Amino acid sequence: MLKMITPKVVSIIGILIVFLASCNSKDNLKITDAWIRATPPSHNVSAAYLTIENLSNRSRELISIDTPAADSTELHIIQHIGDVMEMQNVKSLRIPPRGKLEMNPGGTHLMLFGMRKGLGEGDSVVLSLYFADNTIWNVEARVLKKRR
Amino acid sequence: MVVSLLFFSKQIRFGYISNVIFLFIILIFQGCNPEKKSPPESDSPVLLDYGPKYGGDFVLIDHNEEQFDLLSYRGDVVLIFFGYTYCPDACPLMLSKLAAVYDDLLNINAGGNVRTLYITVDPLRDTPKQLKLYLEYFSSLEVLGLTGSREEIDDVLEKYGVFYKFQEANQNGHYLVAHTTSLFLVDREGRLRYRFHSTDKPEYITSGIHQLF
Repeated sequence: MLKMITPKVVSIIGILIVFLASCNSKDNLKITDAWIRATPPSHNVSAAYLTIENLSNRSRELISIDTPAADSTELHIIQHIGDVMEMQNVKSLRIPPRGKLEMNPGGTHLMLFGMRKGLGEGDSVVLSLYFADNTIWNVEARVLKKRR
Repeated sequence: MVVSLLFFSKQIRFGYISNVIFLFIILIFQGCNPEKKSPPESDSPVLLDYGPKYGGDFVLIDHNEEQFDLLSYRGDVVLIFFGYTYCPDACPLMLSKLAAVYDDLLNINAGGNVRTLYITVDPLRDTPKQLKLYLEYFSSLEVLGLTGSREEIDDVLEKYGVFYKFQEANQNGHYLVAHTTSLFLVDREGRLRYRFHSTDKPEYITSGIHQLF
C-alpha cells in the first residue's frame, strides 16, 4: 500500500489540492470602482455602481445587495424603447466566465430606496453583495456626485 | 396621442399585459416620429422643422414658485429635457452632459443666450421646492425646474411628444417612472428644431446649438 505513495502520486494529489482550492469562489471575483450617487437631503433614493470581474471558468450570479444605508435595494437594468428609458428590476445579474459586469450611469446599476440619511461626497458606504453560490462580498463604495 | 397620454397619466399598478401594451404603443409612435432613427454619422445634426404640430409655448410654475412662460425666453436658444427628481441614475447623467455642453458653448460665446429647462413628468412628488433642491445639488449650471398640475404637464408632454409611465411601486411605496430622455432644442423664435438622443455626445449637441446663432 505504502508503495503506492510515489512522488508522482504525491504531485498529483498536490495539484488536485491546488485545483480544489482555486475553486473557492472567494478568490475568483474582483470587485472594483464601487461608488454611490450622493443624494440631496430632500431625496431618499440613490444608485450604486461597481465592476465585477469573474476570473473563474464558471458563471456567477449576483442575486441581491444589502446596505445599512438604504431600506431596500434592487438590481436594475435599463431598457430603451426608442427614446424612452425604463428601469427594470431583475432577479439576478450574470457575470459570464472570464467576463466582466460593468455598471455605469444610464446602464445596469444597483438601486437604493429609502436612504436612511443624505449621503455627501466623501462619505463611504458598505455594500454586501450576495451571489447565487452563497458567497457574500462586502465592498466599500465611495459617495460621489458624479463619476470621476 | 391624447388617449395614450391619458392612459399613461393614471398612476395604476401596471401588470405584464399593460407593459406589453405600453411597448406596443411606443413602437407605433416611434414609427410616426419624424426624427432620424439611426445614430448620426456626421458630427453636426441637420436641424428639422417639426411644423406647428410639435413644440410651442407653454406656461408652468418654476422652481421659485413663479409663473413661467416660454414666450419670455424668445430670442434665446432653449434646451428642454424631461424627468423626475427621484431618478438618481439617468437625470444626473443628463445634467453632467449639459455641463459639458455649456463648457463647449463658452468657446463660441453663446453661453449667455442658451437656457435650459427641466420639466418634471411627476408633478405629484416634484414640488417647486423639491425641484430647486435637486437642481441646485446636481447641476453646476443654471437649469430652471418646471412643474404644474398633472393636466398642465400632460399638455406640454403631448406638444413635445414625450411619453411617461409610472412603474409598479415596491413594498415601500417607491415607484419609478419610465420616460422619454431626449433633449429638445428650441430656436430663438420658439420653434422646436431637434430632439437629441440621450446618448448624443456633448460636441454634437453644441454644434446643433451653434447653428442657431
